[in-house]
Amino acid sequence: MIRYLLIGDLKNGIGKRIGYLIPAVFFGFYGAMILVLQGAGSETVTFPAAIFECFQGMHILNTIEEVYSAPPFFILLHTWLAFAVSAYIYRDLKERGKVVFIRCRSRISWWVSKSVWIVGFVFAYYLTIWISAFITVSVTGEGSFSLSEAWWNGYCMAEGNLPGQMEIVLYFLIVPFVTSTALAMMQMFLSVWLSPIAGIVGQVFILLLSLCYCTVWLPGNYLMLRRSDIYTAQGIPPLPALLIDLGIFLAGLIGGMAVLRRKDIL
Amino acid sequence: MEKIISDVKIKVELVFSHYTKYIGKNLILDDISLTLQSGHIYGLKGRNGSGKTMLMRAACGLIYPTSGSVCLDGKYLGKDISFPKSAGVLIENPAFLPNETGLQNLMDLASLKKEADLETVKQAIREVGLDPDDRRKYRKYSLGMKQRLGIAAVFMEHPDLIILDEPTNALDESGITLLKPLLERERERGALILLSCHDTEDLYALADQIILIESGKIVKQVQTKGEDSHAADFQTGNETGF
Repeated sequence: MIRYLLIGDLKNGIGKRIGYLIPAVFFGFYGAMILVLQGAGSETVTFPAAIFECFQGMHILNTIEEVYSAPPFFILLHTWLAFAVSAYIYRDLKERGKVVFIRCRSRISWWVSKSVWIVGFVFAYYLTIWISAFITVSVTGEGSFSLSEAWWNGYCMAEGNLPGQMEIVLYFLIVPFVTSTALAMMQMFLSVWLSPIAGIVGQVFILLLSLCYCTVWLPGNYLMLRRSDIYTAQGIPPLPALLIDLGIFLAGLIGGMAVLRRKDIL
Repeated sequence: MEKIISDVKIKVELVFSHYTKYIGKNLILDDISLTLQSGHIYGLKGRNGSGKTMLMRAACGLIYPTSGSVCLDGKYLGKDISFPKSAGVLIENPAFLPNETGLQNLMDLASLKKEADLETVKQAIREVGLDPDDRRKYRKYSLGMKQRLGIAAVFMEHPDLIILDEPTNALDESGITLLKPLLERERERGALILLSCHDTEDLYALADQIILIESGKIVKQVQTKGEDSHAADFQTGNETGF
């Protein structure tokens, strides 16, 4: 049963929702093009540099007033993902999902299938950004997977050493992806517990609060490369970030099971 | 007809026992005690908001009781089982994937239980007067076609428990004419059918027994087919606003 639910969710929730991934193409393209528009040399227009532009977020604030300069691109990238997640859950729970619920005869199976879907959907979203950024840097620059020291310590004003390949994979790709997946899971949990709107509001609230306060307990910080310990000494290291992400994901998974077990499907 | 019904071996028994449901402070279903059995078509009648749809949701396990229980073949819904093992349900409006054809939509649903193959699904679509080879996407369907597809989804796996909330909505006369033999066939097979319909004439034509609900409470049960005395009961009900 769960196999057919999964196939259905991956087919209908990702395969047939390609439209929701179109903005991700723009985000990857924007990340690379912003480097070109800034007049960076071709050695600077690389894949990790483009990803940095996408996920740089905001430096650690010295005063709370600075939050008014919150980066709109960062907000847009993550709220679009929140919207895309919410739209599917809402429609599935309120419309066709009722029929699927009864047919699969298990609320838990339905939720587990949705939990796998959320990982797949967030991965598809990130993959689209990565591919778009890579294609754009390949056309406009060198398309390499390394960063130039001049750009990292010069333009970016990073305090840390130039990241190597493994650090790029960990900090630039894995941590943001895992964090987005955990937050999406929490959003999905809020959607079934309260309402889809509550899910989006919860997600945006955490993102905005994270902009104001740099602490390991606000996972929105892990989505901002300028808040990582590879960028600044006061930044957040990846291990606690990943552990907290895992905790959030598991809490959402188990909480969703508990809520669905007694939820009225109206 | 009576003979056929009485010979059916009962496969399903749905028992509501002092079922009460509050949503917030609103009393939705009030101490419902009711036994429904296989081989019968039960029609729910009541005003908007009287609790018909909620009773149907309770019957298929979509909502939980505040107190009381609903039991299907000795198993408590929400405790022993989450949902009935074999149920076809159409509650409110049919909902399908807009960018798939009718056949693709039903095959998607059928893949969950693997009880209906392609030919069975096509046959179910034909039975409601639609063309299984129609290449139009569901979003292009008229309201009546959507309703017919929803009905086909209910019948395609020949479930033991059939729940139809306002199945005649948006159906033209030919659609209602198609529905009756389908219901009768399933009843003769031994299915338990629970349906609601705002049109008393249609409900009288389709159901064996009518259950009148007011403010979440069952106020009357009337036999509509069979012995004269039962028919008289119905007439009495009709005279009192039924």
